[in-house]
Amino acid sequence: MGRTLPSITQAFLQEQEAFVRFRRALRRSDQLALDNLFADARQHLAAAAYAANPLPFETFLLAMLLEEHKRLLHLQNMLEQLVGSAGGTET
Amino acid sequence: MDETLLNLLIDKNLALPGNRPLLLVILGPYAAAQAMLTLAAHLARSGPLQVLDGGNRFNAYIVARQLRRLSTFDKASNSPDLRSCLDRIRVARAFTCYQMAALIDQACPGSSWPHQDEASAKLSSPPTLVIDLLDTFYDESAPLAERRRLAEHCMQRLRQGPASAGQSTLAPQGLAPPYLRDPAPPVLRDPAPPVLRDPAPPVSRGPVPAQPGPVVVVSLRPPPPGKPDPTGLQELVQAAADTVLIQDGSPAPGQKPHWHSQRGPWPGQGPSWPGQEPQDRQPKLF
Repeated sequence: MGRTLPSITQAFLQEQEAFVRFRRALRRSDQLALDNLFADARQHLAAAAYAANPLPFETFLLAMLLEEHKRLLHLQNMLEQLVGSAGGTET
Repeated sequence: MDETLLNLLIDKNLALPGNRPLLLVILGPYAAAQAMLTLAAHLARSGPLQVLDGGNRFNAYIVARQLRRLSTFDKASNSPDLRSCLDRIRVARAFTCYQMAALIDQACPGSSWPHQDEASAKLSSPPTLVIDLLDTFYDESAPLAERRRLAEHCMQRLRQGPASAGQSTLAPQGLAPPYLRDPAPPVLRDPAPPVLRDPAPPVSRGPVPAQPGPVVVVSLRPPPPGKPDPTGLQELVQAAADTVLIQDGSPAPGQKPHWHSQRGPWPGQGPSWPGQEPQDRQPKLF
């Protein structure tokens, strides 16, 4: 019949809404960075729904961290390739 | 956050002498759902709790957030964890007035319960929260007379109290209700013979345990301003209540709501519930 809990998308939007005042107080560049973080978390809503954490914001934070770590690994790989290629040309 | 309401509830030490539960009715926008969820979080920290939801307003995420916040500020090392607190909450939802009446029948099976000792059952009854009780009763698919009959039945059961399922305590631990803290009833004080006036030798010097009776909290949506409830169901519920708390308007975002209390029926109405004598209302709260 009726829903029993808000969906994970509704929970995500509510959490995002809770930070509106925080976002408004940031610089424009920081606002864009914050929006990117929430966009990262939004990519993992299905996993967050499956996790069914009573505190969904913890899952959203982990999703943000996951995307940040993916970027870090990607940059690390690129750096290693660059260093490798630079070393190869030197020798 | 409705901490004003919560402090009001805890400070006033909700307890009635005797076995009858305290029936508290809360009126507020959105059936005071935020206050009820805050209350649920506080109650779940101390024991089992049953929640009957008539308006589909129970949001477990909000309760979880409140519990996490409470455990953050709690300095005690034995503070219950989030999941065990959530496990203590038993939620049941109703989508028709018949379902609500059946849920209340299950939660409050009445005083004639042959297989259980009544006194121990009453002392160990879990608090019961009924969120948006009348929402399903405003469905015009059922005849008004039928809805009214069901509402009367529900209030009768709620006044009798919940069934036993755990410990009920709304008062802070170690703080006994006034009737337990009082050394002797007023009728036994001065004119009594010494054998009654003098205190008995102490058996135990420990703090008097808090043992308030079971508590039933019902929340309602107020009718629109200037438009009284045409069904009269709200007055029926309020007339059955021991105490009515009313939220004054909708607070602005970030502001705390303001509450005022009103005991029993609306002004100008007498006690309209069977067995609801005026002296029954005197020594209570607020």
